Amino acid sequence: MPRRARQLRSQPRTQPGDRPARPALRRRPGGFTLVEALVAATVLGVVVLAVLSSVSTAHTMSFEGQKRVLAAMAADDLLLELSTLEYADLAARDGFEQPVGEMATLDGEAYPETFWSIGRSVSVEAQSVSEPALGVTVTGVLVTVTASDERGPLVSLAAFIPEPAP
Amino acid sequence: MSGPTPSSARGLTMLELLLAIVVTSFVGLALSTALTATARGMTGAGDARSALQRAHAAYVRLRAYTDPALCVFQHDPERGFVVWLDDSRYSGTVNLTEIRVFWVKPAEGVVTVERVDFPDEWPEEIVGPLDTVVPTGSDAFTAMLDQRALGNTTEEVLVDGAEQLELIFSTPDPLDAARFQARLTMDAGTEDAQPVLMALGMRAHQKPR
Repeated sequence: MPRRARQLRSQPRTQPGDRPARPALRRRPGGFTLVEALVAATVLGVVVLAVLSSVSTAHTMSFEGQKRVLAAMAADDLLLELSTLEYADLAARDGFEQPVGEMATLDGEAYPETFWSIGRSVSVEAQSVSEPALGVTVTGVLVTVTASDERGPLVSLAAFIPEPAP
Repeated sequence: MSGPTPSSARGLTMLELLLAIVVTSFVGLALSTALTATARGMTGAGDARSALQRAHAAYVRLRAYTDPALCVFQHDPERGFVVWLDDSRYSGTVNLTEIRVFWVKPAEGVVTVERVDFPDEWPEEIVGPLDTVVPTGSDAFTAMLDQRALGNTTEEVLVDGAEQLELIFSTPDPLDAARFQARLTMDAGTEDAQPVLMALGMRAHQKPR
């Protein structure tokens, strides 16, 4: 049987009173209009921008986290160094400051470039710690080391150093 | 008889097709370049961050030994350093069980810590005579190696991925230093090695008798 005849036979027959068949979905011959193309390009641009923006934000946050780890190390370093000094020399360290990018150990060893964005400062305050239940009062100094970047403090660490017994 | 095909229905001409391919290629290339650069940057930043985290872990572990230590007993730039950890025998002298030897092994990228660890079941009568004094100026590294040969030591990795660990003392003799600096360089994979300086100190600094 010829193909055309088979196709006609396979189609459902229409009866009088049937609703007219819906016209076949026709392809629009004109392709995309300029407006459609612009909308598509804008949507694509927005998606790409959003992806790049979130990647950039993640990168910035990762850098900030890294900086805080280094700041904590730098502050902890200085606090430890200060705790190895003679007690009598601690008060003179109040106001000690190392600007951003110019950190060095108390023995003068400069920090490597990894720490370029961090600086440190020290405050030393006299303090007494009392324990009324035991009737004990300990005098000493509270040493606070603050590591900062150019925008402000990142990490602050403090330690109470008691005055040694005479 | 059919008339001329309207331009909207005839498809693209060769010129239009080529133009579309060129424009698509440019856009694709630009996007690919941007994303590749971003991915490379992220990988590099990740490697650097990982190196710094390992450096921070190394710092914490190293300080667990050096903070309570009494002094750096010996330092050899080629082999590492020895710390007098405590005076558990209250003798004022340095005994084998009181020292920790830090071996710096750049070829393996690790720093290990080794200690003399006599079997728990050995009574003090046996351990006492074996826990000999390591005199100041003697080679504590060799003393540890001798004990290792006898199977009496335990060694653990302290720092992984280290390219170099250099100690800096402000005094000619490490025994005199209450503070010292460790310059640690960590392998950062695709990125440049990450150098970190650690200031270390011993609050209870004390020299052996």
